[in-house]
Amino acid sequence: MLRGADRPATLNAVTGRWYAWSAAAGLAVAALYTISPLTIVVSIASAMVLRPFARGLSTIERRWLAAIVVTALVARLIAVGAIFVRDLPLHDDQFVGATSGDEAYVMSRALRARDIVRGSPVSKYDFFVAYDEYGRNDYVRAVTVMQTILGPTPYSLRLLNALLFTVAVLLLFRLASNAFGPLAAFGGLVLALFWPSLFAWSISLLKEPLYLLGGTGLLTAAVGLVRARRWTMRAGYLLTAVAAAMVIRDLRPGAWALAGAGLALGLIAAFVSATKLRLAAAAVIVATALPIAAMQPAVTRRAISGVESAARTQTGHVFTVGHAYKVLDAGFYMNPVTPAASTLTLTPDEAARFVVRAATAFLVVPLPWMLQSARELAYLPEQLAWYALLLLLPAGLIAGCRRDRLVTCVLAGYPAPTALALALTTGNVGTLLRLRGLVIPYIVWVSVVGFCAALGTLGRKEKMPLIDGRGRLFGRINLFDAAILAFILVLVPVAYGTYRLFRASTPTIASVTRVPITPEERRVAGGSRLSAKLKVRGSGLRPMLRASIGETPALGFVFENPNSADVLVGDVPGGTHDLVLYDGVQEVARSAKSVTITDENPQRVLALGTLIRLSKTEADSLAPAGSTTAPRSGDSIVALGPARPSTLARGEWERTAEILVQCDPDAGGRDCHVSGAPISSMSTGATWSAQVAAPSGAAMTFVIHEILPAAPPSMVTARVRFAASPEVLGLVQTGDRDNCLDDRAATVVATGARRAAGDRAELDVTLRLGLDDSAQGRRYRGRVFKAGATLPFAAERYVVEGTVLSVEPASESGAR
Amino acid sequence: MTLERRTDDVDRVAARIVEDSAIANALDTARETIAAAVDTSIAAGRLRQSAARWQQLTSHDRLRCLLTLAAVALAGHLAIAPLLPPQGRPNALLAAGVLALVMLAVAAETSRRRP
Repeated sequence: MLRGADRPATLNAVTGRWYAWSAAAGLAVAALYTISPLTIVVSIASAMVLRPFARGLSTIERRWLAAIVVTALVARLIAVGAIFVRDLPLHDDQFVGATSGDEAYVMSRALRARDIVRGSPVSKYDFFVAYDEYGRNDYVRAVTVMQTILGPTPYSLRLLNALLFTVAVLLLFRLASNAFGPLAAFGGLVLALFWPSLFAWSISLLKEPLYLLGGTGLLTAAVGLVRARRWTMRAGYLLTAVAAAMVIRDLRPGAWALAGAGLALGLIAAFVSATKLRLAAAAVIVATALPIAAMQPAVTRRAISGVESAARTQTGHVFTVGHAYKVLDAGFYMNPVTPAASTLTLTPDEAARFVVRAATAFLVVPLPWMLQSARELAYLPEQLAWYALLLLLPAGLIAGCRRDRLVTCVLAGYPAPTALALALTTGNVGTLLRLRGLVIPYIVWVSVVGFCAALGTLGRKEKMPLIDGRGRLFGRINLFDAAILAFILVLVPVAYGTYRLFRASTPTIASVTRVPITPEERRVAGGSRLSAKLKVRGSGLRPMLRASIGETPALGFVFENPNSADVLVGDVPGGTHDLVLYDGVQEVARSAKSVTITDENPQRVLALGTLIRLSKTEADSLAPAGSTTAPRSGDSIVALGPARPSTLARGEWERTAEILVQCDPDAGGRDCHVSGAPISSMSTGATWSAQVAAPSGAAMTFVIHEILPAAPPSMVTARVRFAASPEVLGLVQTGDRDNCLDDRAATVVATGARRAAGDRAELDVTLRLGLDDSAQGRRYRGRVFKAGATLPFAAERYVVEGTVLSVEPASESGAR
Repeated sequence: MTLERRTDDVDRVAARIVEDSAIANALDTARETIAAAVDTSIAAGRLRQSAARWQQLTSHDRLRCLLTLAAVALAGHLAIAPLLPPQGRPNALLAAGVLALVMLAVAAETSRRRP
């Protein structure tokens, strides 16, 4: 080799030009690297990583592989470029380059952590998000490290994810190529790289491409480990498997369990299906073990408990904004709750129905006629392709097992536990479509094997008389072309037709009118106050909808038929409100400013009685002027007597109380009604249950003794002559009070001289008491009170009856 | 006929049908057209010429060229990075370290491929 001065001058000049070009290239790299460092890294990594996948292929196969992979990468580059152009007006210091909520979360969390590391000004919220346990995983950590070192990478991270996805698919391509031959491998490669939803998340900022790479690494390493003959190769595969397992470790809840169960399922299936004897033995074992396990109460309980837990998560998905689908019995979706707050329990029948429906839904949702938006309609061809994959899967399993049992079983078995977990916990169409992408990259190869097998079988002339020796239908159309054309020209239009014909009509509200409330509806309200009843007319109404008056949920949505329903309105603030209909938490219809609630002052009455069946703690915790809570939020406690042990039941306590009760509004001109029942029926001895705002919030039974007007009484001074036996009259003292908790209770303010009248005695007393106005004159505790009227007076120690002698207004100082 | 044989038959028939299909042929024609266009383009020709000349250099010269490229790229990056707005600025030293590692990998790959 010639060096330095030994070389000819022309050679040195050539080398000098190369140095100059190297320096220029270095400057270009510096500029590009400064603008987008990760793009340079990904570009160089692509050139180095993708090349080995072509090793060992024939020349034509290498060309096809290069053409497909380059097309896939260029398509992704164009898509990322389109996102960049679309987002140009949004670029500023706060930009995170996200097209969805999940992407925005990942990038904003990483950028917040970067600001904290860099010492940039941050807020408490930045710390909260950056260190939040929710959403923490290795992918977020890796993205954070990248942002910290390389600066914000909202677009080049998409390129990195595209590279990770492509490598993952190429790993499976090589596996399929060795197992099933080039035709199936290339078919699977094209489908996996250009499957629309996979394409979308391969250029997302999400963790899915990394999770797929980890999964495919684990799967291919496991197959290699089983087949390797040398221990050095086994060690290499083992290390690869461990590294892949570490990658997926915390990218998804239960990732190791799902991956381990999937691999085990695949390997066991490969072992069991190897001979007919093993297959028969396995069938017998399963057929015996399942009924025995089902008969064990402990096993059944545990299984149902697991299903219940999954069902709670599923309801949580349904109660999110978006297009939800339901797989539990309809009643479980009436009241939106979070999975953590859910108390959902299932009977064995309900659990079984849930599992069957969830598994079916995972395969078929969204059916063409379930599509609700233009975006979902655009998904229709992919959904049909998914159905085609599923239909071809059984043929693929059989044909694949004939070619390579281990790879077929592992490809089909690996995603099975993931599919089951997703099926049982997902209730949102968008989420299902996204997460189905965790399954498609694995099964697509098996389905393509099924397609090839079907094509090969149909193309044999001795099997199909309509197909000639060259695989042409009626001697004219190539079978492969026929299949593709049938998909495009027949299946897609037919599916679109079913969408147009059978799609569920969207609920619409045509009119909202106020109608009288019937007594039955007041009773059905179950103690809650009904302020109005609305008749809703429209179309597409469904029984399980919920109604809301503005922000206030209605008491009930009573379905009559798809064009008519009633809405029962509870306590709603005065004013004009929108009527909103919800399916779960999804708003499906709204009638703007269609409900007017007037702020009328409702009629009230005073109910005197006893709160019974209290614990000592509850009795002591009650306080006068405390408000009752929903469903009767307008009621309030005015006065309370002392707590005392119950005379009816040991250990229980009771307390006399005076409660200001609000009558039902919109009573249709009738007397005061409470919870649909006339107040007259609540006379002495009637019981009425109220939710008293005690610290415990427990329901307390209130036994009504007496109903009084809510208006303040007129305080009077009256002279009354008591007549009773001398011993009884001897008990009467100034300050004695009629047995009534209200301020209108008659109180002895002065006593006169006692005189005998036969075997009885008489005593004139001066009472101070409150009278209520009525059409028949003034009344004391419901009785007419005027001179000559009788007055029962029940003090704590005695009961006596008197006759009213005179009534005079009370002095101003003593007025209430 | 054995199971193995039947499988081969099915594969062969399927492959023949796909090879005969108009769609596959159209795709193949498109691929060949694009490949031919790329192969005969001036840019590709220049690139091939450059690659051939690059291969004619001694491994020592190639390494020196790569080191020159890496050194200029690193220095250039360290010089340009502070010009970026603060929010978009990378950690220049760590980013330069990443670039150095990438360049090292490229150099190693280049020298590995040299016969």
